[in-house]
Amino acid sequence: MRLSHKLSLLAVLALLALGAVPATAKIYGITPAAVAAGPTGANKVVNLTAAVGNIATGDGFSYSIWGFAETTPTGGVPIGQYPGPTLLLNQGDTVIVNVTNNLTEPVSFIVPGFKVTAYSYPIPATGPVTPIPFAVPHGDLTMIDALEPEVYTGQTVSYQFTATKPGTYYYQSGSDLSLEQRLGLFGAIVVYPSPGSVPPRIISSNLNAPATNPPYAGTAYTMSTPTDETTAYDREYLFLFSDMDPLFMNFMAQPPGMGSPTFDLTTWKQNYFFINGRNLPDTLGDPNPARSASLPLPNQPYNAAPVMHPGEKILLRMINMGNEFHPFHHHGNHATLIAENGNPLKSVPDTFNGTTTIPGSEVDLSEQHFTEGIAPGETVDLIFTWTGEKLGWDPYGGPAQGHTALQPFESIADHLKQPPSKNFEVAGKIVLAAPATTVPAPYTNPAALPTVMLDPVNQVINGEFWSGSPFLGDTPPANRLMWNKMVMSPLLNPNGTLKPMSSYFMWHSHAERELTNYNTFPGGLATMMEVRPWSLPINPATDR
Amino acid sequence: MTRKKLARAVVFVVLLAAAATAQGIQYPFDIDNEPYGWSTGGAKGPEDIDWNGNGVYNGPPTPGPTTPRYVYKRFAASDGFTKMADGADVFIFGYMDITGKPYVSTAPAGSPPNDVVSSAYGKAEFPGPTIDLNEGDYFYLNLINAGMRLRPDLPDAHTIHWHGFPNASTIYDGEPMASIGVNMPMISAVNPNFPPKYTDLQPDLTYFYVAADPGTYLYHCHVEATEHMEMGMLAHLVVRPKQNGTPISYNGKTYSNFAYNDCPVAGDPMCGSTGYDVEKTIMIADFDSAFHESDQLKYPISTIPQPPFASFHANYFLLNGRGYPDTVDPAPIMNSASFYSSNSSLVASTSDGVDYAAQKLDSLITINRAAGQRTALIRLTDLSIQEWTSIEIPGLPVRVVAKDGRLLRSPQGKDVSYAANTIQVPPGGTVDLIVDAGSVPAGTYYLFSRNLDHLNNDQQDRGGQMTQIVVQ
Repeated sequence: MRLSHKLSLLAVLALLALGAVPATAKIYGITPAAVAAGPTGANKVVNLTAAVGNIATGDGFSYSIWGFAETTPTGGVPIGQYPGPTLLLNQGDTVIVNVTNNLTEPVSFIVPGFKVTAYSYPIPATGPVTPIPFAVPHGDLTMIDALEPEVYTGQTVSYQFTATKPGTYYYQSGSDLSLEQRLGLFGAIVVYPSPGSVPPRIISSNLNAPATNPPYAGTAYTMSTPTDETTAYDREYLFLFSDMDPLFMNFMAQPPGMGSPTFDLTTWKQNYFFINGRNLPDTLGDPNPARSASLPLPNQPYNAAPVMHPGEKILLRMINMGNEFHPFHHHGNHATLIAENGNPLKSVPDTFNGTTTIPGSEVDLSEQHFTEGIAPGETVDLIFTWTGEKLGWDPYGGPAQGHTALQPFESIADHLKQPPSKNFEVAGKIVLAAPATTVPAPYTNPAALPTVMLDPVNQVINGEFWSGSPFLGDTPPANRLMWNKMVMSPLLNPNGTLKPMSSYFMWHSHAERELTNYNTFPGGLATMMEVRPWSLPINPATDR
Repeated sequence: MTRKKLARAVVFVVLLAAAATAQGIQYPFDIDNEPYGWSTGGAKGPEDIDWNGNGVYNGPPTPGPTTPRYVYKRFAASDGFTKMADGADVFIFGYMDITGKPYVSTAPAGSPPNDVVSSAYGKAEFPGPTIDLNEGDYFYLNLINAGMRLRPDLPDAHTIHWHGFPNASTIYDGEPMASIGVNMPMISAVNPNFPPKYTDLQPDLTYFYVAADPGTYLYHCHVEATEHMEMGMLAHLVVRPKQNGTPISYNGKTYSNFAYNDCPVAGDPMCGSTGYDVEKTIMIADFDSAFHESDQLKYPISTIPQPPFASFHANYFLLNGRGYPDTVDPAPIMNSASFYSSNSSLVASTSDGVDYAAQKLDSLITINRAAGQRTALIRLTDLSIQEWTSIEIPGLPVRVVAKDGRLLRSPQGKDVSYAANTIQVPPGGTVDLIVDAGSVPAGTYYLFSRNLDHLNNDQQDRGGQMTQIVVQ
């Protein structure tokens, strides 16, 4: 097994040497189709329907939601999706979103950050067209309940906007927000900066540079200079937060004329907490329903299962569509907050003689956080990385773990480092260099670990995501198998054999009540981030 | 069966199936503690440690330029009681510091035992003991699960999560799904179903961290995090910068204590800007007493309901575990541990139930200008279970110098700290504030939560998350 590790690592390094790009984006969503520019200038089009759908919560219950879904091309009945389809756009795209309403009350379409214009559907191929004038619905100021011209039941309206700047945004119904946002009429929008080169990666001298410096996958925002690395990333992940009151959802699902006639929204209390429309443990499920025999969540197609190699930079695009602050705590390391609401945290650049902009003169206003406080309706972007440096010991193990060579991005200072702590009791004295016989099974050699591992059954509780070894890339002990089969196991290959160990870190809301699914712990707004050793490739096409 | 119940059942089976074997020391160094399995008696001390393997037992190395300071602590986790400002007794889970306590009782027959388990059992504190380190320290923390006096039926493990420490390792992260936790002991005094005391398992785990980065952090138990954190397993974790001890002048005053290394280059205008004269670490938290009562009375195991997460509604709003006016009492708050007695029929032990200081940390800040003091560092942390907290400090100049253990300084070195009267802290976040009392009238100022419903102790108003900053 250890031999194969080494071979895998060599294979990866060989790929790097050949110039292959191992990292790719991993945000699931739909890319609007390109169209010839019509009279409104739009060059992309996407068709959405607002419809009722059913979702499953992490405790196994089912709730009826209102959500956007891609309009079925064949004319079938669309089912509401939670959240709606993520729209993947390029900076400068002018997009027509044809919104059809299959719900019982009017909906509309707004994108905070961009100006949306409504046209009658369909927009003709030629000729002058004029936007639908926005009149106060019902002609009564006291009854204002929409922010844009609305789509009435059974009809379609064409909404158009231009993604003028890159960043993380969202769309939502602009009608009856108090009700429709609680029911799920929202979705994410990702706008990529105009295509260009990526900056060169600067590797700290504290870390072992890989044989070939892998190029970044992209930047979240436009670079200030050709070497501006502040928003560069290897992988990107979406975290759209939302929350739900089951009593309200039950009320809304009542057949007409049955049950309570009213619901007092002042008593609304969220008891389900979602990332990308799923609660833990479903956040870790497969995003592809076709592949997901064990977890069919057809109306919740997006998971939240970030995975990275040590040293990679991952871009976290976070959106809070909930009704409360959802402070998000990412175990493992700080992250750098680089943007809020689609705006990079940089000052205006200085100018020369008051006219010529000086490139790179912006003040970087990013902050490093270990908990992201995100207000309702806010989006933030963060860059996260993990290398395990500064631990004072080698988290990759030592020779006993088949690891003597430095791994990509490994901390050089801690490589093979053994703090003066491998002490064992011999005849009432503490000595260094313990006899191997004092190491309890299944551990083979704790040499790189500053404390002695005890019997893993009698004294410590093993977690579901704990392989049994403290070392990244170490092969889990064989006796982990039985435990892992009791629960969902990301540690198992499809054939039941154990994968070499990744390190997992819980990423979760630190409003700790949100770690529950309606009274059941654990659950809610949480997932596990996987740091996967370089010896195991990450393939977004086949990974969960 | 719910997932939680399943997990508990599994744990219980594992516990019952465990054989009392696997004896071996679990922490690397032992400062006058008697680890289980050491039956020879006699206190072990630093002299018992052979640091370089040369056969000479000469204690820990002397800290130097290339040799870090080694710090050892032993904490225990158990249950206990707190006393709220309105007099209510609230059941908690919590930590306590038992460093240096003898492992095996040496008390004469008939006297209360003085071993670590008795020192800890039923004596939880809130907040837990503060971990106070210097940058670069090598820190070993041994955690013993001492069992719960009122809830011997609970097979809950405990851990310590080093909240906010950068570049964590999974084994010491304390998050039980991706790591390991310390089992509940199988000690006869804790649960009569288990074999006799001292001869069986006393589970413990030694955490190791290098205090690599200065800052304001937290630690808490991550096992069944919603429940154990609400129940009080929360505490401060402070790492002091290497810059400490070097006098630096800022704004007309010379400091030798700093919150962060704020002087990367001599002559930088912000050198010394995190210097302070007095310091207070204040944790924002809240209790839902109904939740605590539910955990207190769940006994025996057959009647355990789900903890009431859905109906959670905090009614005690606390700074360092106390509501105002207890926040300004410099003395420890003595609890009513005798409250155990009222549930004596449920207590499967003979432990004393004597009142003890369960809430040791006040939040009173005093700036004595006559003694040369001018600035106060407030390390503000939030471990509320649900809500953000907005802290207001009217009348005093306040500068936010750091968030989440990071100095507010741009990557290019520009100062991005800012002045504020009101500071928002998310649950799980920390903020460092410098209050400059150099040019304000003497008097009593207030620090309080601007969340108005946080200004009460249950039914008692004029309480909750409020404390005083006294400028003399």
